[in-house]
Amino acid sequence: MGRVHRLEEAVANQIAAGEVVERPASVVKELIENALDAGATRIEVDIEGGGVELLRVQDDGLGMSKEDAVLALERHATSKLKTAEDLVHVSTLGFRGEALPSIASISRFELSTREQSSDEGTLVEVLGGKLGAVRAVGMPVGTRVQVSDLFFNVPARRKFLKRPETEVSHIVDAVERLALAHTGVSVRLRSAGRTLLDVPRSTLGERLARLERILGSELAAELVALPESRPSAPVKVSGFVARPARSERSMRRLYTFVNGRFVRDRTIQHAIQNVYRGHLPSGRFPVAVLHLEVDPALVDVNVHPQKTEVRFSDTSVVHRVVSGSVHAALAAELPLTGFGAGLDSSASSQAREAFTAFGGAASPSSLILGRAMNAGLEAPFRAQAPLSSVSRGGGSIPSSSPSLGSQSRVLACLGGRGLVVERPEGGFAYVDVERAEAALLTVRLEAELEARGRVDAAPLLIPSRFEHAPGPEGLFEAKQATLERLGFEVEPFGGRTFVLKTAPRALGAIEPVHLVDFVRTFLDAPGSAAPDQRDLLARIANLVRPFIEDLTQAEALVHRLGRAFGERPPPICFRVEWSPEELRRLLESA
Amino acid sequence: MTDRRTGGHKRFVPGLFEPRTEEELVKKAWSLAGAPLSELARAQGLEIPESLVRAKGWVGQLVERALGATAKSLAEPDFRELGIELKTIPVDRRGHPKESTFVSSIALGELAADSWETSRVRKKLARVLFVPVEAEPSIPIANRRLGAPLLWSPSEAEEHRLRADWQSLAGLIQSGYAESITAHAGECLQVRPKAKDSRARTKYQDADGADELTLPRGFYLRATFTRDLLGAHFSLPKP
Repeated sequence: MGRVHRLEEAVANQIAAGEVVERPASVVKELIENALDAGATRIEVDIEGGGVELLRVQDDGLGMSKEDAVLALERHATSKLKTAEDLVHVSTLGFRGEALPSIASISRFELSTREQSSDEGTLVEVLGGKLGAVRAVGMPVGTRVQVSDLFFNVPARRKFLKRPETEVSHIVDAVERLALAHTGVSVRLRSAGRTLLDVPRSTLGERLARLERILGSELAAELVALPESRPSAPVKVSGFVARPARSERSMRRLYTFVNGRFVRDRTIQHAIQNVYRGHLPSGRFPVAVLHLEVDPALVDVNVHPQKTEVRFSDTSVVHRVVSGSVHAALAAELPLTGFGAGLDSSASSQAREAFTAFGGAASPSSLILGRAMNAGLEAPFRAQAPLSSVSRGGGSIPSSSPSLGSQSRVLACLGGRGLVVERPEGGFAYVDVERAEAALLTVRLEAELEARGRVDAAPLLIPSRFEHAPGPEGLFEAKQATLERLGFEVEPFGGRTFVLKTAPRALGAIEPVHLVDFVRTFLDAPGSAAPDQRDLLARIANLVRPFIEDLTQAEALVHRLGRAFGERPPPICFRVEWSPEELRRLLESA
Repeated sequence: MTDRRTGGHKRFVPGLFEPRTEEELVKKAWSLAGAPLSELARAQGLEIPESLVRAKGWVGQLVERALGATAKSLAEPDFRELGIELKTIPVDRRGHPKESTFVSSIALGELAADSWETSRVRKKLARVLFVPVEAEPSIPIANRRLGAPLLWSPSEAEEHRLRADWQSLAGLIQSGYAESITAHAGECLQVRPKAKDSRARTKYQDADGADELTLPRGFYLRATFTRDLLGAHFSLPKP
C-alpha cells in the first residue's frame, strides 16, 4: 500500500480549524461575520465558561434552507464565491467556506436556521465533525449556532487556552471590533447571563454615540473626527483619532478596518503612528478607529485564514492617504505642534513618495524645527528620540531631492545630530544625521540582501540571552528563518530562554538592548507572515544612533550621501532648506 | 587543597574530557556564550571569589575547565590534542580589552638561539581560542558574562607584524639590553615583567657578557591588537 493517502475529511477540517480557530474569540468572530454576511440587523452572543463551555451566536439574517444548512458544514462550501475570479472582488467578510466545518470538527455543534420562505427551521447536529441528527424545528427567521465543549477532541489546543476571564476579554475585543465596524447592526454580548456589551443600531450620524457606548465616554470625549475624503480618492478614510493626551500602552485600541473587516496592517499602523511621533511618550500608542474603503480589486484579503491581514496592491497610496487624513484631523486641533513634519523612516521609494506628497500638503505653520525634527521614528522599535534644541524658523521642507554632491560644504554641526550644509547651487540645507545614516544603512542592507540573499551578520561579542513566551508551534521557526536572513541569529536555549547570537555587521557598535528589543518585538508580533521587507530593513537601520563628533566625520557623511545617492540624496535626509535670504533672516531674528 | 592562583579558593582539577575536534570545542564555547560566571561556577561546584585582585587566574581557569582544557603546564597548549591555546580576554563596556594578553614567558638565556619560526610566541599564537569575558568593575563578578568564542590564527599580515615585533624585541634581549625594553616598544607584541612579585629574579647575560639578575619577563599581545581583532570579528556593544 502506498504511503501517501488522502486525509479523512474530519482530519482535514481539524487541521483547517487550527488555522481558523485559535481560541473561542475566533469562533465568535467567524460566526458574527457569517451573521453580517447574511444581512443580520441584530446579533446576540452568549457565552459561558470563557466561551469554551458554551458559545451561542444568534442573528436575524436570511437563514438557510435545509439543503444549504447541511452543505454549509462541508469544507469549502460557501455561498460567497463561485470561481477564482470572484476572489478578486470579495466584498463579504467570510468566503473561504472553512469556518463552519472547522468549528464543527472540534466541538459539539448545533446549527439551527430558518429562511423567510419556510414555515419551520432546520436543526443540524454535529459532534466532532461527524454529522448527527437533522430535524425540523420551530424558530424565528435567522440562524443560531451553538458551540459547546470547544476543543473537546483536540486536547493539545485546549491546553493553550488561557483562564476563562482572559478568553472572555478576547471575545469582548472581537465583538467590540465587529460592533465598531458595522454601525447598522445591534450587538449584544452576554457572559454567564451578565451583559458585557449592548449596542443598538445606529445611523452614520450617530457614530460617535456608538463609539461612546463601546469605548466608554471618557475615551470618546478625546476623539476627533477625520475630515471627509474626496469622493475621487482611491482610498477613502473615515473615523476618529484620539488627541495625543489620550494614549494606550499597547496597540489594542488601534482599530483599523478595511472594507468593514478588522485588520492589523503595518502600513496603516505605521501611517497613524507616524503622525503621533514626538507627541506620545515612549512606549505609548495612539487610539484610533479608522475605516478604509478600498476598491476590492486593489486589496488582497486572502492572505491568512483569520483574515486580519490584507495586502494592498499599492501600499504607498494607503500610507499617504491615512497619514494625511490623520494629520489633517489633528493639525486642526493642535495647529502649532508641528504634526506631520517628520515623515517616513526609510529610504524606500515608498517613503520618498509619501514624503514628497506631504511636503506639498503640510501647512507652513507645521514646518517647525525642534520636536518635529525628531519625529519619524518607529515607535515600538526605538525609544523616544532626543529632542533637538534648534528653535523655530522659516524655511521649507524639500519636496524634491536637492543635490548634495562633492561641492557641498559643511558649515556647522548641531549637537552631533544635525548638519547645516551649503549646497553647490546656492542655498542651505539642514541634514538630519540620524535619517541620513539610516537611509545609507537601509541601502546597504538592501544591497547585501539582494547580493547574497541575506544580511551580513557579525557575532555579538557578548551574546544576549532573553526571555520570550513561545507562541504556537512552528511560529518561532518561521520567524527565526526571517530573522536569520536579516542578520539576527536566534536560538532557543531551553524553556522560555533564547539567545541572540548575531546582528547585522553594518550596524557597527550598538546597544545590545536595542537589538534584543527589535528581535523580541518581531517574535511577539502576531501572525507568521513576514512583514514588508523594506519596512523591516528600515527599522533595523533605525536602531543605530549616530553621533557626529567632528568636522571630518560630518564631511565624510555628506560625502557618503553623495556617493550612495549620486547628486540627489533622498529628501528624508533633509529637514528643511533655506535660501541665503531666509537663513540670514532666521539668524538675525534669533 | 588551595591554589595561590585562585586566591585560596578550591583548586581546579583539569577537565577530563578535552573536545576531540575544533568544531566540538567551538560548539562547546558557543554553548557557554552569554552565560554568567555564576552559572559556570555552580556547574563546577566552585565558590565565586569576592575580588579577582587576589585570584587573578580564576576566570581563565573557570573557562578552561568548562571547556575541558587538559594542559598541565604553561608550556603546552591548553588543549593538548588540538594544539589550541585558550585566552580569556577581560573586556570593558565597549567591548575593548582591559589589559594585554599574556603569550609566553621569556627564558632570557634560551632566547639567544631562537628565530621567529622556532619561537615559543609563534607556537603559542598558531591557533588561539579567544573568549571575551565582561570585566566592568560595576558588574558583580557572578553576573559577568562570557562572550562568544573566536578561533583565530594570525593572517599573513598579522604574522608579518608579529614577526617584526618579535625580532626587534628578541634582538634587544639577545644583545643583552633586556633592561632597556619598556612596555612601549612593539606594535602588537610587548615585553613586560611576568613574575610572582617584584622581588623575583632570573639570570641573564648583559650586553657586556656579564651574568646579571633581572626580573623575569614575558611576551604579551597589546590590548590595541586584541581590540582590533575583536572589533573586526564581532559586533561590539555601545555603552
